[in-house]
Amino acid sequence: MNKVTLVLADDHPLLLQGLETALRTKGFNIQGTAIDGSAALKLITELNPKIAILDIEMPYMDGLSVAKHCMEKGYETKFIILSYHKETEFIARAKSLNLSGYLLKEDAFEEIEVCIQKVMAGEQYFSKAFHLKDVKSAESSLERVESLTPSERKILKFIASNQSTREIADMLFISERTVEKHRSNIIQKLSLEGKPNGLITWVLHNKHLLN
Amino acid sequence: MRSYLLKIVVLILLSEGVALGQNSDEVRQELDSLKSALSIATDSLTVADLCYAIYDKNTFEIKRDVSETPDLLFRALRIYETTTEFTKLADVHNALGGFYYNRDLLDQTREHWVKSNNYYEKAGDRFGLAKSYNNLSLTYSNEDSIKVSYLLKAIEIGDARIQGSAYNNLSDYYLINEDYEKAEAYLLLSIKTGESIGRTSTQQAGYYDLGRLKKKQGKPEEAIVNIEKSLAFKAIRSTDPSVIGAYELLAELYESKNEYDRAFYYQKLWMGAKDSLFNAQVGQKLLSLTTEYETEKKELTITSQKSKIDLFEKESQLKNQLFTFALLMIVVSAVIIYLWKSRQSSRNAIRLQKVFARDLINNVEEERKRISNELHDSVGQQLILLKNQAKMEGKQVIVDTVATTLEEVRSITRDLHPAILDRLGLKSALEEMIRKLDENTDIFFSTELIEVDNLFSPHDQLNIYRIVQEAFNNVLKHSNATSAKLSIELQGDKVIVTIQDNGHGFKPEIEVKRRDSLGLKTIQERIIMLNGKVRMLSGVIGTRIVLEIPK
Repeated sequence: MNKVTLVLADDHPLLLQGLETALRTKGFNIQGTAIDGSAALKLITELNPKIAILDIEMPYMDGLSVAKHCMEKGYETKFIILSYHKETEFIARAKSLNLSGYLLKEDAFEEIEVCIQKVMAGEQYFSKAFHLKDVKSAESSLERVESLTPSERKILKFIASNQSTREIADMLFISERTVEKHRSNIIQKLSLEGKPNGLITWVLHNKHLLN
Repeated sequence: MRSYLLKIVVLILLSEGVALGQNSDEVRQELDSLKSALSIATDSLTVADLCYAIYDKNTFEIKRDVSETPDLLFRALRIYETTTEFTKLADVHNALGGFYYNRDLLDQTREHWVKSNNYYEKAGDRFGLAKSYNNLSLTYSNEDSIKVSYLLKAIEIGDARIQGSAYNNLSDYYLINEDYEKAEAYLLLSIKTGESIGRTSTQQAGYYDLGRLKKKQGKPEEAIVNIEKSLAFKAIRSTDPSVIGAYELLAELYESKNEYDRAFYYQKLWMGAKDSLFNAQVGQKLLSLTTEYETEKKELTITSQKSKIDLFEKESQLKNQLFTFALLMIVVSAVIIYLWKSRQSSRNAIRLQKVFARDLINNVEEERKRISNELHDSVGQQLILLKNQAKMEGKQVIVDTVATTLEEVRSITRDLHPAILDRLGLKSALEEMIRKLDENTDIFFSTELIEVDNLFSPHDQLNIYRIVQEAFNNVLKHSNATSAKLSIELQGDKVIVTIQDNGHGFKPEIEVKRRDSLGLKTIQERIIMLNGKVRMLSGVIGTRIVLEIPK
């Protein structure tokens, strides 16, 4: 019998049922399921499972709120968000709440087992859908460029066309300080710290990557 | 003096049958009873008779109200004219003629006396006819031979009562024209006629005139005899000019004969009579003055009546003006009320339109949210299941297709309603919006956002989100900007949201009015729902939309 105890919550019965079945067949101990936020909260506080897998969109209370509440109350349950939403802000929120994982429902069956294992191992796991922008996984120069935010990439283009910080600031309606901040972020993301004129040199060599 | 005497003669003729010495109090009493009878009389002929009778009595009243005379006579005349009372008509015309004659208005006098003459003829009143001929002669001067022909006609009729006077008048005519023989002959005829009918006044006048004639002929003895004879009749009142003239003449005549006792006696009588004559003249003068006064009074009455009419006209004019003014006021106030009402109703219509616009926006938002949720709950979930199933079964093609479809559905649901707003709040939703815009455009986006999530209701948050979304839509579509910025800051109790770009700008006041510029209109509707204000500043250096929203 697997020691990993689980509570599942999703207001979509088909998905909930499918997930439960899938996890049971893999040998997980499903302590309970809920179809709304408040029921999920009740189950978690009563059963104190190792992991709670929660949907965001649920009646009465959304998954993020349930997780936040429990963590604030000192429960040791780890939380994995299983959501339809793909917006970066949701993942950012999950991270800022120090949740253990964020999976997209569409990839649930594929990734859920890995995710549970990582979380049980004390790590965080976020859906592969978001991995490409992760700096640490960026190996090549292309991947490094892709890890830049759109704004950073735009500033990089201005730098490539030999514009000064002041010119960029004027053109973009922002302060020189903001441009400098973006500049230092870019240098950091491209691993160019400590190299004099490193950014200019990099831009001259990698212009083709910017389009 | 002479013409005065003639008037007296006429007066005597007119007052036929009335005792000369009648007490004036009695006359006044009779007048009063006649007047009261007139005031209650209804039969027109009676009225006319009474009018004439009052006039008739009036001629003996020295203090008579002469102003009434023509009124009474004309009143009688109008009534008699509708009848065949020719004698009475003639009498009235005769009286009217006399009224004018006493005022030396000879033309009017003659006019009435001619009519009088005609009516007497029609009536076959021979005495009247004679009287009117005699009267008519008086309207001609002593140089006019017509006078003679009238007098002859009067005499011809053969009524002795008139003949006496007519003979006297004829002699007068000849005396003036110095035909003393004819004058004496007619005087004698006059006296004779007077004797024949026992009329002493005619005899007294005749002898007096004879005396005067004798004096002119240089026969003082005969003159004295005739004049003293005339005075013996005492038929004419002592204030009459003929009596006074007699005293004067006798005083003169006795003086010339050196009979001073008699001269002195008549002198005294003359002096006394002259005083009384003077008194009588004063009386006459007074009378004419009274007449004038009464006439003036009449005119005054007419004037005052006229002015009363004027006043009434003015009053009615004023009333008309007041009425017109009131009518105008009613019309004006009706118009004002109508305009006010229609303004009110158009205001109401505008208000309803705005309420409708707001309701519409809210309904659309609700509906979008509902559809978004439906899509997410049904299609989205089904696709999720399908993708997972296909992956389990290793059907990669289906996995890819479903993934693409799912991505599209996700995009649609997100556009319909931002779930992130409900779950993570306004700041996160806006940051997500900016991130997406930044990823998909060449515009450089920057943000400066404070935490505002707890300041607004979900409804208000959605409105702010939509306004920002619309503003950035415009930036993308129209501005050609290379940079855009969203900032949210606190200013006192207001939240200031600023959307700024460096594009080529637009004219907000024109854009808002354009029919197809639904976006800007919607912005205005939403800011009203937020009780806030929106300022759109646009120029060559870009556009700035500033929202001021109370917390």
